Amino acid sequence: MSARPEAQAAAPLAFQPDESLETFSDMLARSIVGKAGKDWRTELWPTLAELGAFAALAPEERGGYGGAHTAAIACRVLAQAGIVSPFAISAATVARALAQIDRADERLGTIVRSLEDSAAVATIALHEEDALPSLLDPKSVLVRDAGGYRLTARKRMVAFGAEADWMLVPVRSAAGGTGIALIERAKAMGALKPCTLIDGTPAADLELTEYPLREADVLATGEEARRLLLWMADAFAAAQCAESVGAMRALVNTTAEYLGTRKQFGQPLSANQALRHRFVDMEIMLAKAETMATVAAAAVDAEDADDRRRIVATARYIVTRSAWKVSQEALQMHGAIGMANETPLGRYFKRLLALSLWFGDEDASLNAAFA
Amino acid sequence: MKMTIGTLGGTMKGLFTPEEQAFREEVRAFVRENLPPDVAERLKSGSHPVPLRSDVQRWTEILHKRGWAAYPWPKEYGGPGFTPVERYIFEDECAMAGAPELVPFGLKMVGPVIMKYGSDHQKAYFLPRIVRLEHFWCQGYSEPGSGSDLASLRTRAVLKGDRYVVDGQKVWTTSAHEADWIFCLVRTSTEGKPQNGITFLLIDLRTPGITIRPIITIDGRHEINEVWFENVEVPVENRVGEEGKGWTYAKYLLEHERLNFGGMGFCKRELARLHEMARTTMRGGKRVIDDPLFRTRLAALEAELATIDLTNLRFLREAQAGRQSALHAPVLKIMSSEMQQAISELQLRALGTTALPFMPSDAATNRPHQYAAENYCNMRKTTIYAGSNEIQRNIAAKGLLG
Repeated sequence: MSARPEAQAAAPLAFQPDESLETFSDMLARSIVGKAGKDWRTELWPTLAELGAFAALAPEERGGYGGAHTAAIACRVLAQAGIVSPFAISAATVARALAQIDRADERLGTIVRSLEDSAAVATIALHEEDALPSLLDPKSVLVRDAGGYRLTARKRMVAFGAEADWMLVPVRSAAGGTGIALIERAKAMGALKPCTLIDGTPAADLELTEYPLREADVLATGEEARRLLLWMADAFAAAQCAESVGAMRALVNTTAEYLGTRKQFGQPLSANQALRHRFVDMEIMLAKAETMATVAAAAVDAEDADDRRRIVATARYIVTRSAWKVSQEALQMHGAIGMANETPLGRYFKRLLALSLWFGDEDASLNAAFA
Repeated sequence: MKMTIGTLGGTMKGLFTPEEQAFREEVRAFVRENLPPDVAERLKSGSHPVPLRSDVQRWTEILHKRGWAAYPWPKEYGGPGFTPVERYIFEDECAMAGAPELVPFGLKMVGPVIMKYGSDHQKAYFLPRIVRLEHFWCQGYSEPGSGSDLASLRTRAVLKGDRYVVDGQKVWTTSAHEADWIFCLVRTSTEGKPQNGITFLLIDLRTPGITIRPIITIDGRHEINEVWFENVEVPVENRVGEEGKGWTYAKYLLEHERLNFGGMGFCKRELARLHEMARTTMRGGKRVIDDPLFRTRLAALEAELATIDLTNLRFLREAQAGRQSALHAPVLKIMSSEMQQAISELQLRALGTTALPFMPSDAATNRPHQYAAENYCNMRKTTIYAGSNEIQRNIAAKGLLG
C-alpha cells in the first residue's frame, strides 16, 4: 500500500489543492483511528512507515517528495486524531536536518537512513534554563580533550528525551563557537531524568558533566551548526503550527457536534445566536491558522534563513493566538463536561496549551517576526 | 505588599472611612499573628486551588476564637455582623495573606437559606455546626441533563410517611468527597411549570443509598464528583420551607452567592505570584518582567483588576445605601471570573515552557513547581460554575432589555 504521489520537480504551489496529497492525508487519517493514547512505537510507527510517511520526507535522491509540506500534512492529521508522537521532532525536524549534513561519515549515513526508514527516533534538546529555546548561545559547553571532547550540559524538557535513540545537543565551545553534539541514549540513560508534560508528551532533563565524546560525535560547528539549528527551530515550529491546526480542527468539529446535540431550555445550544456567532469566530480563527501553517511549511523548504524566520514567526504568532482562543472557547461552550479529564476535549485543550509555549507565547513570536 | 496598580483598592486614600481603615489594620494584624505559616505556604505555592479540609478546619477554629468564623453572618446567628464593606476588607486581607477560603457551601449558600426559610429546629441544629465546620456542606444542583437549564432537573423525591425517598444523580459536585451534608434540589412534582415542582432538601451524606464517584478534572486533580441517590430516605424535617418552593429558595441562594463572588483577594494573591514568576523566569536572556510586550500585558491586567476591584467596592457602597441594582450580581460574577482566568493565563505566559511539566515532584524538575499550567486549566471552571457566564449575560440582558 502506498499513497505516494508522483515525485515532484518543484515544491507544490501553496494552497493549490493536490489530489495525491489529499489521498495521503485521507489514508493516514483512516489508518490511525483509535491509536491515540497507545504506544507510538508499536502502534503508530509501523502504520506510518507502511504509508510511506517517513520515506516521503527524505531528499528526492532517496525517493522522498514534498518535504515540509508533506510533514505538515502528517503532523496535522496526527494531532487531529489526538496522537502525541515524536513524528514532528524526529521525522519532520531532526532527520531532515541530519540529511542536510554533507560529510563522508558512515555512521551518520546509517543514522540518517535508520531515521528515514523509521527504525530509529531522534530528538533535539531545545531548552536550558531559559523559557525560550537556547540554540545559538547555550550554556552547555564542549571542551577539547585528548582524542575528543568533554561535554558539560544541562538541558531541560527534551521532548521524547528518554525515548529517542539519538539526541542532538546544541553546545558552545570554550571559545564561544556554536556546535551540535550527538548523544546516544543507550550510553546516557543515567543522565536523563524523565517527566511528563501537561499534554502527555514524555520529556526528560539531561545533565552531563564532562561527558566524553569522540570527534565524530560533534556533527557540526560554526556556520554550519548555526544554519542547521536555525533550520531545525523553524522546521519544528512549522510542524507544531500544523499540529496546532489539527488539534484546533478537532476541537472545532467537536464543538459543532456538541452545539447541535446538547439541549438546554428545550432546544439545541446551536439555536442560541450568541453561541452561533462565537462558533463562527472560532472557525475564522482556525481559517487564519490554516493559512499561516501552510505558509510556514512552504517557507521551511523554500526561503533563505532570514525570510524563513520572519515567515515562520509570523505564522506562529497567528496560530498561537488562535490556539489560545479556540481552545478556551471550545471548553467554555462545552460547559462542565469540558472540565472532565475523561473526554478527549481536555486532551486537545492541553495539547494546544503546550504547543503554544514551546517557542514562547505569541509575544515571543511577534518579537521574532519583527526582529 | 508593595503597591502596584492591581492592588489600588487596598491601599488608595479616600476609599475607606477611618473606622474601616482601622478595621483593615486589625484584620491584617490578626492574620499576620495567627495564620499558620504552613497553611499559607500551601496556598501561596499554587499547589491547592481548593484548600485542604484540614487547613480550612484549622483556620476556622482560629477565627472562631476571635468570633470571625461566621464572618458573613449577622450577630443573631453567631456572626460578627460586618457591614458589606467590612466583609470585603476581611476577605481581602485573609486571601492576600494566604488564608484558605472558608467553605462557601455552608457559610454563603445553605446558611443564608436556612436563616431565611429554615425551621427553628433547622436554625438551631445546622447553623452552629456550619460555623464550627462540624458540618462540611456541598451543593447538589447540577445534573447530567440539567446544567444551565437547572429547572429541568430530574432527581426525584417521593414523600412516604414522614420521609422522602430520593432517587437520581447529581454531577460536578464540588467537595462531595470531603463533605458531611449536601443540600439538594429535587423534583417532587412533574405538574405545571418545571420550576414549581422543585423542593429543597438537606441530606446527610452518610445515609445509605448514596454513592460518591470522583471526577478527575483536566488539571489532574480531584475536586468534583458524581453523587448518586438510590432509595435514599430523608426525614421530612430536613425539607427547607414548603414542598414545591425549592426554586424560590434556590434563586435566593444563587443571588446571594453571586453577590459574594468578589474573589478580589484571591486575584491579588495570584497577582503577587505572577510578579514573582515574571521576576524569576528568563526569556530570551532577560527577565520576563523586563520584556516590553509582557509589561504591556501586565499593566493592562493590573488596570483591569483595579477597575474590577473598585467597581466591586462601588457596588457594595451602593448596596449599603440601599441602591442595589439587579445588574450588580451578574456583572460582578462575569468580571471576577474572567479576571481569575486572565491572571492564570498571564502566569502561564510568564513561565512559558517552564510551566509544562505536569504535576511533577520538585525533585524531577530541580525547582519548585508553580502549577501555572495546572491552575490555568483549573480556572477554566470559573466561567462555567455558579451559573455560567452565558447565563449571567442572559440574566443581565433580561434586566436591561426585558
